[in-house]
Amino acid sequence: MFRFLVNCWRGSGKFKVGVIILGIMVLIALIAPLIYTPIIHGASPALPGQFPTWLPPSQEHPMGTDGHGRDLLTDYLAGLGTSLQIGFTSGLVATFLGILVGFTTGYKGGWIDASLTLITNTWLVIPAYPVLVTIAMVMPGMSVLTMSIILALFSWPYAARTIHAQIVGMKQRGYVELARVSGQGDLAIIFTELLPNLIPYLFMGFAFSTVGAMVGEVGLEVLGLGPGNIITMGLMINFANNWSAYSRGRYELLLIPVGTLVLIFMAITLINRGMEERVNPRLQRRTEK
Amino acid sequence: MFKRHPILRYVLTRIFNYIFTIWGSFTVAFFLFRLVPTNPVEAWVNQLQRQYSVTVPKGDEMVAYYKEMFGLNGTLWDQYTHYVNMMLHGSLGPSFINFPTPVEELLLRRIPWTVGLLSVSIILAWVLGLLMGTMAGWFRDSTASDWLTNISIALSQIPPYLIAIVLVLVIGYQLKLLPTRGAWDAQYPIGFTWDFIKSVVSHSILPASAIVISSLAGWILSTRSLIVNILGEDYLMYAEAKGLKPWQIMTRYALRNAMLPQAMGLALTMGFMMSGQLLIEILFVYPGIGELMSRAIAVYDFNSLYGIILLSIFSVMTASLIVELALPLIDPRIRREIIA
Repeated sequence: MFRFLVNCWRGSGKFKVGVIILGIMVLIALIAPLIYTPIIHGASPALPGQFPTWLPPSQEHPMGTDGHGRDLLTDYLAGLGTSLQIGFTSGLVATFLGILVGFTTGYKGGWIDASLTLITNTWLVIPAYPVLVTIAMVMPGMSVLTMSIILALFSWPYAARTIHAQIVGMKQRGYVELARVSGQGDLAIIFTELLPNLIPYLFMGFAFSTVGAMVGEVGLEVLGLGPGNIITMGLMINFANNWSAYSRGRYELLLIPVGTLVLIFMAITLINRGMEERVNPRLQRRTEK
Repeated sequence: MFKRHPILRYVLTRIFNYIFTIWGSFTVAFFLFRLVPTNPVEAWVNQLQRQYSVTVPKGDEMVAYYKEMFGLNGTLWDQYTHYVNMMLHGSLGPSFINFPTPVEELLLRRIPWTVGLLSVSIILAWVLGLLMGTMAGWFRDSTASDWLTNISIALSQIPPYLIAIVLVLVIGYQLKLLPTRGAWDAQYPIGFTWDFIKSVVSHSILPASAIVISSLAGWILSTRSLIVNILGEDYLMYAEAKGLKPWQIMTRYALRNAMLPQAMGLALTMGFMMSGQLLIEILFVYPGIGELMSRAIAVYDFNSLYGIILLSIFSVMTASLIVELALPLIDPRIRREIIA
């Protein structure tokens, strides 16, 4: 598992750039409390009315304050962590569901495969947004975890499909056949023979679901439908829109969260592509000769 | 019989899957939304009271009357059969947000805007992506191709609404070049006049650009990898040996072979049009299906929502059925695979 990641790091510039960008983001999110605690004197980052509203950037408030009287730098730093947390948690849950379904359908085959695939497709066809928005409206005070799980419910089929396709190809191979003939059980074969070869695809499924969840999360938040008590990048965009940041000339209120999200999406996509090119060298092939 | 007619079996399986998936996903969606613990009629009366701060006289009677009309009585199962029965008789029920306009009429009013905006931008992105992807694949050893590929990879997962926000900010507010709200200028009456058409086009440029920019990268990457794979095939070597010019090989051999999967991809993408760009439509206050959906959700207008969801499921499934049935017709390799 680690060998694969180390190989990617050594062999792929895309992977390296992606990891560095994402690493910096995660690092900023992790040390964020050290930066914002002195500014807000240990209060909760989301607490409104701590300062006068709409202060311009100054020594104490490097980005100024927002329309709720919160320090904007604190909004940003706390929001970055939450956005990443939602993405990663949701990605993990989706990958787990994807493994479960992808393995069962791919390994068992036959009518189990056919019916589960039909069910997966049925679920995929339902437009996700109205369902997500309605859930968000019914449960206004959602926690980060609930939100992540709900987002995962809509992104797991993609992970399941990737894994399914790999398993179907892999179980025909000689070593799996050998294990079966030598009397190993299904679970033993899955864990000892199949899973180790699938690790790159699990990482890819995870990266893909993470981006999917974050795109969904930001979409909900931009509409003002996420949990309003937790600041995320999406909620900052929503605030900037609602408080007419344009007419105040405070374009950075919009551009900073948008730019951050673009960077995160780019980083994860680069990491994903880097891994894909390691597994499937045809993708980066230049000339045949 | 099926053993001897593999093609017939293939077609019948697809059609069965088509019908089952439409029925199944709509049924799941129906019950999902009915799990919402709010009674939309009550929510609406409450909203009236909040908005106009008046008490609605005989509110309870009104609620009861409308509940009957919207099929909200009885058990969940009764409500489901009521809806399906109504649907099979060709009606989607009255809408809530625009009472008493029937849902199908609301949809028909909105569809041209969504289809107009999205089909133009999807096709534009597809054509551009196909051309740029072919070039990137053909000149795969050049630095320009590397740059194009790497930029496309980086941009391939950026959702259109983030691009839209930046476009609105820079082109709409800062440079004041293009309008950012609505689909046409209200001062012109709707009709085939030059002024009206001009205002429709200028209103659609920003939302369309956001969609084109965000989907272009994906088409470039998939076309490029198709082309690169084709370039290794023997028939290209043969074409080269015949002395065909590189330009002819690129257009007649490489591009033509990449066309088929990409055309199928285009058909599938078109299928997703109806569930498409909710956020873009909301952001630009564009009077399409997505904007209708957001207004329907806001008041729990189940009938309109179900209408939109049905439309979306139907268009996705129809597009994929067309692709599944057309592919073996066009591509003999797939036909052979089915028969085998």
